[in-house]
Formats: sequence, structure tokens, C-alpha cells
Amino acid sequence: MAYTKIVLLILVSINFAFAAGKSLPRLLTKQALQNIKFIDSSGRYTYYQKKPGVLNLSTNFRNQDFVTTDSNASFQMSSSDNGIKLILETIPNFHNEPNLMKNHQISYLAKGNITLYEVGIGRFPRLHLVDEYISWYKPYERSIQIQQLKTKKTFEIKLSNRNNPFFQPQVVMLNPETVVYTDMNEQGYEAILSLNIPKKKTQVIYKSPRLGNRLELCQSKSYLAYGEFPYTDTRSFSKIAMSKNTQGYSLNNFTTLYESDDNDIGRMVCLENSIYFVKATEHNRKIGSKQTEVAQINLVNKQVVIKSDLEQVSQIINMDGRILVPVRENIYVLEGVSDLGDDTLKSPGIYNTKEDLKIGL
Amino acid sequence: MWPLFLQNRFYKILGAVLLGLHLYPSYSHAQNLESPLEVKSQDLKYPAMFQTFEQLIKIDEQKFSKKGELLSKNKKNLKDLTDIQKIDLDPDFLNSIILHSDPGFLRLGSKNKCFLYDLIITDLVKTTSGSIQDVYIAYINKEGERESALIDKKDFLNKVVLSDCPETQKLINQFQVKNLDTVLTKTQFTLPVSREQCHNVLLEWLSDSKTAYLCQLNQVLEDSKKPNTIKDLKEAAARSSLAKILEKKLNVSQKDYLSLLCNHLDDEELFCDEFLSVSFWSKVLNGTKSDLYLRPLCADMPDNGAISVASIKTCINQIKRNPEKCMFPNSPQAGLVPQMDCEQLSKALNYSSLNADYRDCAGSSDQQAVMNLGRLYRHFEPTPEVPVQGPCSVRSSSATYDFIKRFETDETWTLQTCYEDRVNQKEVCLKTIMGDYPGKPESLTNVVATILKSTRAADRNLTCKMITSKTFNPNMLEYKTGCYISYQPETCFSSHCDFKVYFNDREVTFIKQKNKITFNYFPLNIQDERFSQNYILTHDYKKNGVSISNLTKMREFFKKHPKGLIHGIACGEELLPSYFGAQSLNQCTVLPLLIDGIVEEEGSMSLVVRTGADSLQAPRLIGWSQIFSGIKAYQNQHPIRLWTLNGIY
Repeated sequence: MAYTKIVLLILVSINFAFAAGKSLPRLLTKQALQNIKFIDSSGRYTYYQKKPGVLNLSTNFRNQDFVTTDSNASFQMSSSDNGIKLILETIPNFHNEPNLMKNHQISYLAKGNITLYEVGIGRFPRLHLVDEYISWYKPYERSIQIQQLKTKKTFEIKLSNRNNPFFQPQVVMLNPETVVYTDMNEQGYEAILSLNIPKKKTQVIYKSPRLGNRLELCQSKSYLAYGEFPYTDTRSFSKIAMSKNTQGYSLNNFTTLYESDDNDIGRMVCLENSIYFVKATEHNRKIGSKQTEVAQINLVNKQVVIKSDLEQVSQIINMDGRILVPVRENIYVLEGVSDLGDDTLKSPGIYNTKEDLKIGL
Repeated sequence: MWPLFLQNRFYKILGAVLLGLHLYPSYSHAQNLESPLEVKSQDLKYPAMFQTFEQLIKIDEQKFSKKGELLSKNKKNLKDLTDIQKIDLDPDFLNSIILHSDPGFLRLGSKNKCFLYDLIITDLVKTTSGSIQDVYIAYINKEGERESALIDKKDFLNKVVLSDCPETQKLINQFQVKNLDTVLTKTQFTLPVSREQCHNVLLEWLSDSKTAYLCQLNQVLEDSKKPNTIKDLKEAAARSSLAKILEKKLNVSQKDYLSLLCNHLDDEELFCDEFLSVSFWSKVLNGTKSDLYLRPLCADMPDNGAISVASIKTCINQIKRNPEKCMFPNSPQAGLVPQMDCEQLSKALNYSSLNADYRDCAGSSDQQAVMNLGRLYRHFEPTPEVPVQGPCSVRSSSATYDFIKRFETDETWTLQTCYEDRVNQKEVCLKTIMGDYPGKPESLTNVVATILKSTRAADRNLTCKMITSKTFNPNMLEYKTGCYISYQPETCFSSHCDFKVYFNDREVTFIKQKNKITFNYFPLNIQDERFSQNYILTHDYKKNGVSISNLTKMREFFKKHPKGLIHGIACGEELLPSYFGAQSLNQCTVLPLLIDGIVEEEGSMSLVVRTGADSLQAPRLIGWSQIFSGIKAYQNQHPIRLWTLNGIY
């Protein structure tokens, strides 16, 4: 095992040496970038915040304010890999109540549509299982909510974390009965747990042996991956491992894809054939300053390649299949079309909305 | 003498030469005029600069002893010396001082004549004979000739020093044992938090006429620890009893500070290293920093009350062995965890200037702007920690409320506790600070008591207590009468708290809370600018504000205003990406922050940062690039695209 790790680390370092210096295209859009909350993969539908408290859907030649709420509110929108539904989070008192535990109003809507379905209040909502389920976290109660969208049946998972009021759990669903999530114990160690909902039985899948390391979960159709990354710059161990979905997941059998002594940030995005994550490329451990770039693990040949030369990458976002890297006032595109400033009319999309909205303008 | 000289031979040569140059203007006439008693021997002339220091010392010894022999045969009282002019120190005497005294004191003495006289009076400079009992002076007699004489130190003080340096008399009085407490209270023992500030602090000490007298206190204490340093038994006994008094008069931190200062007056690097590179935990041990920083890190440390030096030492040993101990403090209310490990935390705290000698439990706050503003306000107007009930974030909430009330913007404080006034058939709401802060009518305890007085005809002296639900037991006799607010610490925050009110053994259910604490930290539009806290800070509170948009400005700010603070709002996803992940485009977790120091090492630089979610006692080291990205991301979300990072002093 140790030998494998060494070989892997050597491979990783060789790959980095050859792959550095990639310039990424910038995302070009018709609307101001900072107002955009969601653009679908075709670029047909743009959800953007027209002004505080007002959310607008824009298609070619038409647009409509479809959420008008308190003028202090802001919005966040996200989708799953399936891209059928979108999650909308309405954040009350966005500027005048900085609160890491603040509950957001969570609702969902069909992509390209404006009809909202309310789900509940909380944070960190995510769609699961072909967008039939949604999970979110209630910070004051320290509980994860799992809801089947059709039946509205909700299941609650109470976290054991008492150490960190600002903890952000990760949640994925493997099937309607199995939820995998992260939790933190009293000493501060994080673990990945699997819960069988009907049996109400919890099993520890992986417990980080390192204090101060964060666990991330990430899922694609064919695998479940977890990442272990340090919270602070003094810790120095990163790891990414995956378990393939071959007629079900084998949660006791994860293969290590990547290990490093670097202070990587993580923020994994899992695609069918690759995993993107934010990697530290230079680091002064003594005073915690570092440079970070996007790295990609090719799941076919297991090679790790640096994909950016931006020096200060913090996050990677999967927006309906378009992989984006926001850095200061720019957004760079790792995968997907980058120029969305094109005014050419497109043919009706799969949602049969005939390029217009259902509401009359 | 020799051991002192041997400690740093080369340096001393350099010091002596440099000091000679420093002193030259003041004593030039003394050096140039040949004394009648000057020994005219070629052998006893001082060698050139490149001769060995041993030779210099040897020649000095010979010259000094010969001159001493000659002068002591004719020891004079100043009364004998009439009609004399231009009394100065004899050049050989001065040279001997230069060659045999601590370079730090020589640097202090090079300031001016009076500083050197003070050093002679306080026994801090020495000649080849050791401590100075008699002073060799040079003067011009009535015939206009240059002469030297040996006089008693007392005479020297009365006739020469006091006439030339009138401040010396005041200083001598101030440093009498009976007046020591006053002078020590008035003296500022500034703890520098940056290299620039440290440089200035040392320069201030070197220009302060009190320094020699303070160093004398240190010398007495240091001598008392070394046996047989004073041969005269009578004097030794006197100094020993003085040392005992001083031990009581000076606290540990003052003693350590003086030891550091007086031993490194000539070496800025060593002096500053002691403040900036030595473990912060050692400062807690010697009392220069509060033990509040250590209490949450070691399991056996009590939250309150005195802790022994032995406990502190044990705790420090534990955290040195296991630096991870600082990552997860004992209290879940500390704030955002993990914190940095003990080594980095120590470094950050060494460079931090924020007044943080109180606890405000960021983990019990669900309004990070309140924490930030409260900390900022308490930095400029420090108040000692007082015992509180309920979430201890009430300390910062209370400071913030005081601030906005002081400038008449308390209508923006929207957290209220309400009840139905049945007589007037209307809902009555009272502004509330979650918790109990002594003397605050807006404390939840006082608000609930007020409501009970209005609605339940409760006694006008009624007070309420906040008690954890774990402690509160309605079956116990002590809780049968009176008013109690039972709460769960895990679900009680500054803006939202699950609590139950019990009055005379019955639960009160008609008291409800409304709204959250919301206010504009920075203006969201031009019209309402004057209601924003940033505007009030700079316009009503009259603090100077400056926008910090780049690293040069940041450096410049801390250089000019070492006690100043930089405050702002950033997006957590960019500022602390390991803690805050983004799922959405333009996602921003609004996070107020304070910056109070810069750490520069090996060409890299980090800033000492506390977000509103971080423990007050546990800042983080964050690179400028991350801070810039965080502020930029928030600027992109701001309605008027405001840059929200300002220095304030």
C-alpha cells in the first residue's frame, strides 16, 4: 500500500510538471456576470437577479420577473447532474444579517420554467436520484432533511456534531433507502456514514484519522467518491477515493485515486470520466499562504493534470454540465461552451417551451 | 568586569568606537584639552582603532589606575573648587566607562549628557574599578587651565548633575520607594505587535529619561538573584531588602518587560524577537497576556477563577507536545472550527493588536456583523470582562447595541420580545439583547421581568435569571419562586434562542420573540448611507477611515497606525474556501472580518484575520490574495458595488 502511494505521488508530481500553464476561456454572457444565478447547458435559459429581491428568467427576446420578494433578499440556484429540476434558495436579509446559520427559503422548479414548489427552510439543498429527492440541512436543529418531492414525505437525520455550530454536512443518496452523509464527532474528527432509512441503521464508511480534515462527497452515475482535505493550512494531507457502482455500491471497498501531502482545497466536481478538484501548487506552511489551481483526475488512466494557471482558485462549480471556475470578477470555463453572448435564435428545446415563457408578456 | 567584557568582545569594541563617535560632540572639548594630570607616557596612549580590544582595556586600566592614584591623594569636595568653569567628566573616566559598561546603557547614555549622568547615578555604568563610587571630573580653573579632580558621587549629583539636569531631581523623587506605585502605573509598557511598532517602541524607551531609573529597578532585581555581586556587606543587605520590596511592587509582566528592555537596549532585533518570535504562550505564562487564550485549550483549565502558574505551565507543555490541541477548543461556543494549530495560532496572536481580553463566544452568535462591530467598538473603548448569563455572545451584542444606541440609530435593532397588552389591546414589543449583561435594561432577563411586572403584577424588584435547561429543575425548591429563563446553550444564539420562561413555578407562554438583529454594516444605497454602521463609525464616532484596496495601502496603514483596525465584509467562499463551498454561481456567504496585523516571513506575507465566526482568542493567518478575492466577490454582489474593506483608527 505504501509503495503504491509513493508511486502515485511520483506520478502526480510528474504530471503536474508537464501540464501546468493552461489558459481557460472566460464565460461570456449577455447579462452582467455578477447577476447571473443559473444558465442552462444550451445557454437558452438565464436566471438572473435583476435587483435585490427580484429574480428574472430570460430567454431569447423575452424575460420575466418571476420572484419578487423582500428587497433585502438574494438568490442562489443550482442543479443536479440530471438537470431536470433546479433548486432556488431565497436568502432573506442577505446584506444586513450575516448569519452562518440563517435559514434560506428552499424551493424547486423545472429547468426553463418559473413555477416554484416550496420545500422548506434550511441550507445546502441538493437534488438526488434523478431529481426525485431533495436534501437540505437545518443548522439550528443540526439535522439533515430528506424529502421525496412527489410525496413530500420527509425523513430527518440528527447529526451528532456538537462541536461546530457552523458545520456543513455533505449528503448523497445511493438509492431511496440509503443516504450517505458526513458528520463530526466530539473530538472534531469527521466521518462518512451510511444510513439505511427503513432499518434506521447507521454504518460508518470512513472515519478520517486526521484531526482537522474535512470530508467531501461527490457522485456520478457510475461511482461515489469521497475526498479528504485539510480545513487549515497547517494540516497537510489530501486524498480522493472512489467506489464504483456496479449493480450497487460496495461501501467497504474504496479505491484511492489520489493522495498528497499538499494542502489542497478540494471542492470536487465528479463527472463520468474525471474528477476536478482545487489543488495547492505552492505553499508557505509557516504563514499559510498558498497558490491553488484546478486539477483533474482522469478516471481512465488515473493521471492527475493541472488545468488552470489562475493562481487563486477557490471553487469549482458544475452548472448544468458546464464546469466553471469563478476567480474574482471573471468566470472561467473548464468544460462546456464559454461564449454565450451569441444572439442567434435557437430551435425549441427539449422542454417544448417554444423559445418563450408560459406567461404572456 | 572581565566576564562582562568576555560576553561579547567584538561587539564591545564596535560599541565603544561607535559610542565614542556619538559622544564626541558633547565631550569634544574634554577629549581635546590635555589634562595637567595626563600621564605623558607613550606606552599609555590609546592605540589605533585596529589594535586589539585587550590592549585597549589594558591601557585603560593603567591610565585609570594611575590617574586614580594621583587624584585620590587630593580628593576634593566641590566646596574646595571655587571659581571653576565647564565641569565635565574626565576623558579617561569617560573612556573607562565606555570600555567597561553594557553597550545597551551606553547607547542610552549617548542621547545626551543628562542621560549619561542618570546612568552614573543609577549605577548602571561602570569603570575599570567596577561600580562608580567617585567621579573623575575635568574643569577649567580660575587661571583658565584644564584640571581634573576626584569627587564623591553625592557631590557630583548635588553640584553638577542637579544644576545641569533639572529633570533628574524629579526623576529621583519619582523613583523613591514610596512613589514607585504611581510611576509604575503611569509608565506604559507597550507590547509591540509589528516590527515597525517595535522599532518605534525601542526608540521611545531610548529617548525616555525614566529608562535609566527603570533599568536600575531591573538591575537591583537581577543582582539579588546572583549571589555575592556586591562586596560591601552593608550595601548588599540594603540592596537585598530593596529587591524584596521591588519584587512586590512590580508585577511579573513588568519585571519581564524591564529585563527584556534593559538587556537589549542596543539590539533592536533581539528586543523585537522576544515580542514577535517567542511563543505567545510564554507571554501568557509571564502574565503579559491574558490566560483567557489558554483556558479553552486545556481540559483541566476552569472557565473562570484563578489558575495557578503550575496549571499554565502544564497546559503550555501539553500544547507544545500536541499543537493540534488548539484546533478544537473545549467550548463548542468558541466559534468556527477547526482553528489554526497552536504554532500558527501563537504566531498570529504575536502579531495581533486587537483588544481580545474577554470572551464573546462566536459559536453562540448567529449574527456575525454584531460580533464584528462589538469587537471593533470594544477595541477602541475597552471594558473588562463581566460575568454574563445566557449566550456569552451577549458581550459583543451588548457592545454593538451600546454603539448604535449612543448614536441614536437603535431603531435598527429589530430583535424584540413581545406580549399582548390586554388593557390597551395591542401588542407591546421591547428591544432585546439575548442574554443577561449587567446593567443593561435591554437584556432578555430584564425585558422578561419588565413584561411580568406589567402583566403579572410581579414585584417591582423582580429579576430574572437565565439558567441552562440542564441545571434548571422545576421540582427543586429554589426554582419554585421567582423568574427563570431556561435555555439550551446549543440552541441559544444572539438572534435566535429557544427558551422557556418560568414565573413562580409556572411556565409563561405569552412572551414571544420577533425579528432578528439586522442592520446595514455598509450602506446599500446612497440615501441610507448615514444609517450604516461604517458611516457612523467614521462620521459620528469620529474615527478616521481609509479604504484599503491593495497590499501597499494595508502595509502603510499598519505602519502608521499600529493600533488601528481594518474591518470589512467578504464572501466566505473566497476567504475561507476550505470552510465554505459553492454549489451555485455567484454564491456568497456574507462574512464580516477584522484584520489587525501583518506577518511577513521568507518573502511571503499573511494577515491576522478574525471573521465574525471566529473565536476572539483564535485569529487566522490568511494571505492577501484570498482576502482580496473575498472582498471582490462581495463587491460583485453589493447593490452599489461598494469596496468593503476599510481601515479605521
